[in-house]
Amino acid sequence: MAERVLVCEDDEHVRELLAYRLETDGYDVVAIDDGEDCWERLEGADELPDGLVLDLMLPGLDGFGILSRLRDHDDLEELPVVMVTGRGLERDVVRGFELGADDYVTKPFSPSEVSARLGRLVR
Amino acid sequence: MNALGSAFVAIVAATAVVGALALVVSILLARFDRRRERARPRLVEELFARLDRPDPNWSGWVGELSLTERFVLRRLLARYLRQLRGRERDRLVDLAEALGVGDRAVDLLASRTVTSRLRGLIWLTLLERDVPTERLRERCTDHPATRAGAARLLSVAGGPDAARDGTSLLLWSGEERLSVFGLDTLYRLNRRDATPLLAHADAEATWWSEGLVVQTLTVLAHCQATERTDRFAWLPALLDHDSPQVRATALSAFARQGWRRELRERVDAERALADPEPAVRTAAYELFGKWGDGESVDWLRYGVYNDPDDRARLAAARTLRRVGGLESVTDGTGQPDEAVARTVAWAGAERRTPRRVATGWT
Amino acid sequence: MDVAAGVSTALWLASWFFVLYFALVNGSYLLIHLVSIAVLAGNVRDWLIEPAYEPHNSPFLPGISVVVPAYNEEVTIVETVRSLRNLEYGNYDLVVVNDGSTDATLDVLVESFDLEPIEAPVPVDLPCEEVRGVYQSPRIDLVVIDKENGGKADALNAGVFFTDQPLFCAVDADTVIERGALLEVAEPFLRDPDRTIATGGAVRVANGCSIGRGVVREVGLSRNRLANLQVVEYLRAFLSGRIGLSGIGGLLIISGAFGLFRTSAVREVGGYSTDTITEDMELIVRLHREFAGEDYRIEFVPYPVVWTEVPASRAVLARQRGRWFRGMVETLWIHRRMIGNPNYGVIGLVALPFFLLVETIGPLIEGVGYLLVPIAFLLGILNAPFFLLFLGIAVGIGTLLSWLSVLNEVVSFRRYRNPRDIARLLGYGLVEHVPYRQWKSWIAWVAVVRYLRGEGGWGEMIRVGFDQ
Repeated sequence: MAERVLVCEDDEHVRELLAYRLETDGYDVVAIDDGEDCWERLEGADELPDGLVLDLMLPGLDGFGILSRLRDHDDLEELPVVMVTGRGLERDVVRGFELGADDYVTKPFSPSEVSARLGRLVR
Repeated sequence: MNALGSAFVAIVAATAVVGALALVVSILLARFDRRRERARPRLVEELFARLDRPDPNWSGWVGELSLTERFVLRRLLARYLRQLRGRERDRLVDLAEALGVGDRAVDLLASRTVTSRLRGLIWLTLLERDVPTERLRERCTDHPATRAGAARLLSVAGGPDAARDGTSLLLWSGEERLSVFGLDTLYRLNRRDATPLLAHADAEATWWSEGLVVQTLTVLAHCQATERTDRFAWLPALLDHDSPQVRATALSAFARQGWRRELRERVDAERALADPEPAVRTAAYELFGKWGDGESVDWLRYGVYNDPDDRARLAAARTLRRVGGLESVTDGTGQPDEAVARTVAWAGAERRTPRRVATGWT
Repeated sequence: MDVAAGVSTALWLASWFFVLYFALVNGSYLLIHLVSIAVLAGNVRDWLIEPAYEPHNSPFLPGISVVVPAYNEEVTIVETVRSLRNLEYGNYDLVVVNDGSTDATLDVLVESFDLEPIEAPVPVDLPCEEVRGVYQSPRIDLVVIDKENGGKADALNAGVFFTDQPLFCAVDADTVIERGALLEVAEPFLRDPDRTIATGGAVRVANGCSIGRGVVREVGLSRNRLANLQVVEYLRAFLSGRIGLSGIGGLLIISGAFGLFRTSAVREVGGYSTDTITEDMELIVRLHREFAGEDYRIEFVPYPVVWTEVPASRAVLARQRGRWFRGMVETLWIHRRMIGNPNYGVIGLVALPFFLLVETIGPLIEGVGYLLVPIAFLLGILNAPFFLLFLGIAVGIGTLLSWLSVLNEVVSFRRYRNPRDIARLLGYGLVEHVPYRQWKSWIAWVAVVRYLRGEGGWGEMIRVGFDQ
């Protein structure tokens, strides 16, 4: 069965392309644009996704916020997370890893690479 | 009295025209919006499908598209080319070329208006098109914005001399201060090897405007430089410059290069800490924080005890906390006075130290 | 007989005076509007140009403190902070200043964001009322300064002197900032880091827009007519007035709801003044005064937007406008020596006289004119062409100005995309003339009388949460 991936990214273009790339690579993708929505889906989910691709600057709740809530949550602690973000300064990358990101990809990014990095974590 | 009447008529007529125009334009634009929104999903679907084909046949596809569809596609590309790299990006660059975007951008360079040339430069940068440096010099040196745009283009697509040529463009006038975009470009051109920047500064910094000197030092504070230390010969004199801003940023530049003993020895710590300007002393504390050796920690402690300015003292205390020496202040000999105690208490109690911000701004 | 003739001559002369004054007022506005069109035509393409780099990835992006003064905002403050946390800017923190609220503003903040007190007094001087405590989040860049009540300016000062960031952004606790707006309003600072000392963005009317999770989802007009009248006013003020004044280097107001400042510049001039009720305008005038002769920029940027809830009832609107008017009079009085003073360049010779004659005295004279000229016409003292001229200048040019602003909106910023909304805005530009304008004159008169009598007293605005 295909692994399920939640993509949370507010830029419409990037979200569509990421979703397309992950789908063609065999994932079952749900793509959303709002951080609060993302958290609600994860927290109340009957069936958890196998991985999360997360933008940093999001409406509702930002990527770091989601990440730190995930790591404080018993069921979601282990969920693999790949951050994909425009903020690539050292302090942001360090912060991302500190908060428990499994991988951190800086824009400009390669969708194929994100897919490959995600594959390493969830497959 | 007839004149009064016709003035009235003229006013009413002008008002009516403006109102009608607003309404008509809004209707036309709304219609255009709808057409674009309808076109988008189909285009995106087709675009993605072709991305993965061995031969996407972009020019064939582009030939079938309406004007609206091409417009939508150009907007899409402008977004994608900023955000992507790798295989998908290469494919999209081919699409942009099939759309004629690159050639049009080259033509725009010939325009007389700055805005058009800037737009051309932005597209060329997004496409990473190699444009001969000669051509850029010919077309883009008359305005700081186009010089920065041209330097950016060189930084992404230029040949082996890109760093040198781009840096020259940015530091062209020796007078104009750079935008943040210009600063960032100067940084990208010099971050791994600051030779071009150092060479310029070495030869020209004495007649540059003060603002530009500060900016150059700010950039240098972020660059790695492995050059011979004599390239830095112009730098120590700036520690005694009349302008406190120059003194402060010169210290920041030294902070970054301080892993080399010869350069470290050029900084007179005592003198920096005796500087009358709090901003200079604050820069010195940052420098000690970066160097972080025993002697630097001692200087930081000295600053916490003796700095007369509340904010500068706080900067010293925060830095000291970061390098792990704050406790030593309170359990040391002598009773710190009230202001020092307050500063130390605060720096120790903060839950998050504020991130330091780029120098050159305050 | 002689008395009647005398009265009629006086009325005739007075009518001419009013018509000429209307011509001066509306003529100045028209001129400023023409400048704004020129600025827009010249700059709109520049503004849309996005340099080919990722500013959030640049180490040179200046840090910004977003300072939010909060007084009894328990209903909205959490939502406001949440929405401010999601701005698209790579390097900023939030400083909320609880200005001695009597409600649970502080508690809801501490509760919602897991804030912890810093167990030490602030080690730098904050020129404001006594600070009771500082709370900080261990996880996010949020600080709450809890202080005794001292008014909005005092609360802003606490933030301005507390922050370490080179820039600070003052926002109202009850506004919604568009996510990209902070970067956009910082644009003049990025373009010209050395010279720029203050920039401001546009304020628009949130009533009638659908807002969810701190983001404006859909822009539209309200069912409340009073709110929609204010939409037209805000378009006029921001899309032509401020663009035009900024274009000639004469910007005097950056709205307190959304302005970005160089921290050191504001500290240098002593921070916000607590002696006036429109501290936002007074600060800008003071910056112009202190920086006169230096090479500095204060700019208005029209495309970043904050949305604010405007009063939907006449009583509240009357208090707000009375307050603004009084603040303007106070500011002009404080800086009266700058008016007409060539040492202050465009500010002294154009902008301040404009504010005195047009913005301040204008509405007062207008109010009398609206009353007197029609009476004179009905009494037969004025002939029809003269009265038509009056209508043309007062109502015709007035409408023209509103409609030009709507046109500016249509051809450039386009927050209102539905042609039906545009048609309604045009309609409101017309119906505004009776009785809204006369009512505003009345408010201005009341404010002046109260100011001269030395009376204070303007109520708080009662707010409901955005999501309700």
